[in-house]
Amino acid sequence: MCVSYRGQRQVQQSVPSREFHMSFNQLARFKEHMVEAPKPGKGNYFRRDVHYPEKYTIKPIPYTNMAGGIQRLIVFYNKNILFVRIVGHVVVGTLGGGIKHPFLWVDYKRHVPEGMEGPLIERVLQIVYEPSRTAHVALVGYADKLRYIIATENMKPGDIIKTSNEITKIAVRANEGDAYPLGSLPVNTIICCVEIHAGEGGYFARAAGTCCKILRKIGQRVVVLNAKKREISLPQNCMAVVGMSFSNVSWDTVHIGSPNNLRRMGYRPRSGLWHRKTGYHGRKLRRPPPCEEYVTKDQLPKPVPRIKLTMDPDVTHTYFKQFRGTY
Amino acid sequence: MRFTASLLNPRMWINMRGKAWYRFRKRAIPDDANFKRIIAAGYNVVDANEYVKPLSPLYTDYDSLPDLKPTYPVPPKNDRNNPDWHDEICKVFDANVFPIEGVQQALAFTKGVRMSSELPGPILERADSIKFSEEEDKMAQRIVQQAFLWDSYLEKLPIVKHPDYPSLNPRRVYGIPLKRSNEIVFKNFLRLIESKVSPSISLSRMMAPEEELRVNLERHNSRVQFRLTPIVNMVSTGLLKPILSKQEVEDTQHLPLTDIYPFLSTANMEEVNVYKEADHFAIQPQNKFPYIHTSAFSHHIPGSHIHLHPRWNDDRFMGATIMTNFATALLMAKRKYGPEVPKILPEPVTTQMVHMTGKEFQFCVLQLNTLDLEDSSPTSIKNNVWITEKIDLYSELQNYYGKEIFEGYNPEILKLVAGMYLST
Repeated sequence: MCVSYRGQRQVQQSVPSREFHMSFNQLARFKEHMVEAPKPGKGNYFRRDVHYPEKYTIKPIPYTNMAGGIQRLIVFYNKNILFVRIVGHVVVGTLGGGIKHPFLWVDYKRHVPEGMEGPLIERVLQIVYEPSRTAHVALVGYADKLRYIIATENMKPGDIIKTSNEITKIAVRANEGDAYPLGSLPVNTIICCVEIHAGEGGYFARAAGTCCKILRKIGQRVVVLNAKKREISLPQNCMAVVGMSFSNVSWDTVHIGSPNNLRRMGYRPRSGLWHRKTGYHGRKLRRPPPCEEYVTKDQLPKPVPRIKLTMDPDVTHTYFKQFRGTY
Repeated sequence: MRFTASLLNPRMWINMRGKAWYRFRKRAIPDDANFKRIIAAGYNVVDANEYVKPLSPLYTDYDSLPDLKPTYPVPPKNDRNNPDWHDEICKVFDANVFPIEGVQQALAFTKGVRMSSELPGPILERADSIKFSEEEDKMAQRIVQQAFLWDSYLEKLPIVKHPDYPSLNPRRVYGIPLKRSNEIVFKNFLRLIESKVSPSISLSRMMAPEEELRVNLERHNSRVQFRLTPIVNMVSTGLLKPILSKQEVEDTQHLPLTDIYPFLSTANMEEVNVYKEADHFAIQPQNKFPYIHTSAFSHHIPGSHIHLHPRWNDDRFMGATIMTNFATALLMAKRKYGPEVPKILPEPVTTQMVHMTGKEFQFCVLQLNTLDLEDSSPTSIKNNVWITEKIDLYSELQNYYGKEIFEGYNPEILKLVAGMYLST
């Protein structure tokens, strides 16, 4: 039924009922439609945005809670005036709130500094409980410099830690907490904080209770078993930390206790409605995938340059004139 | 607001009525075409607000006021534009800094040797020679109560947080800041002692006001700067005489130096690009009282006088006292022998120090024999350090719901301060 308003006729437009229903009745915190979810491993972290300074420090670093959303800058002109605005939307509706803890900058790179001959020797001073990550953090230092690294299982204050860059022919007998390249460690050692590309810092097995294992060596590459039990092939330059597993092994079994504790950790309540489960849910039994090779850009095959064969257009016109009508 | 047809439209959703209220309640004057007709006809159109403004009693014509500049300029930021910026890094020892390895690191930095856990003999003998009567003992107890309970200066103190419950924010309490109570205790103790001492000694001393000290040094091929603010600086006409004679100093040559491998003795110092290169001490060398006799430091972080970093412990507190005492001794050596001090001093320099946390006191005496700190050979001359453990002034002192509880007063501290005061 139409109603005239100010002498004009207006026709009721058809609106999708679900969006209309949600936007006015349920007041959801996120949009289900028209949102591009990031691919696993290459997305944004929706919990907090850390404001890292230029130089490494031991002092706690300020951050802002993002509450499950993204922020981006918009720049636009309006009537010759430049506007800069921060705009965002919620992606994960069940994140938000939580106590703010001092965030510590952890150094994942275990390298010998430039200009130093021989292995780097450091001492462990203290093991610190950090709630922004599952594993404990160790305060470690040599000479003038102090830094934080992730602590292995049996680390205590007063221990001495070694890192070396050399790839030896004979395998090294390593102690827990030391860092060596993969090429100099023996087969069947248990390692943590494994690098993918040499020089970029540890990537695999950084959480509490996780570890990797060296399976075999093939030339200049080393095959490693992931924490998720997948085989990976890495170059022998990559550094790894020797140890059974990272500290705080029993963090999985800790009982949360109450819904208030979850709110303190930064989780918001779920909707409480019943959702039908799809093929995405449940345990899947698949054959193990093949070994994944991690390769740098230099090692990729270079693209072959395209060769263009050209002829003078006058020549082609006169040449193909005789074939006109036949094709 | 009037209910217009826009609100009574039955096609509008029920919840939109509230939103329409917010949209329509503040109506602006629309730009009609009538204004353009009036201007085209040649009339002068003025905005009503501009006509009404000067007639109100609260009108201020900001354009006619002169340009007022602030009475003090804004301090420059710690950027490259700062006039004190240097590309070379300087390591700063501040009130916030502690040596990470404690006493071992402080002794390695100062090339020192700890002689005993008590003050040297002459000071203890002088401390026993002074005897306080009962009335003077009561006066000392009243000084302590005045500093912590009765003082009328109150300030809003920062929150004391429990590390296990970081989200709890209890109410901020009004109280006496720690710096002020330490000042009251030490200054009034000195005044008590002065009344018992002959004027020849008391007239050769002066209590200097608190101002920042700055001393520079080179250590491990890097520049080190001490920036310290004592609460009381007792200043005298002449330097203290050395405690150990030359023969006794040579007897201590065989004692071993401390090694803190893999750390260097400049670990955990702040690295800073903005600094002033020259030393600074408020009292000039032409003054009648140019030399430091004893200095008192209060263990509070400027700005938050109760909070301290949780990594401070007794070992690191003791290391910080040794470093501060070394700084005052260095200053006096530079004052006596000029900016270029010889490596082995012809006559050693001694200074005394008191480090206070309100309840706990720590006394330190340092004799500077050498400034050749890089030489780590085992038979070189070393500096001598006498430092005590933490001594409590009282066991319990608080205002518990209107009742004042004061127990366990220790008269030993007043004696030790008197012994330090009498040394020449």
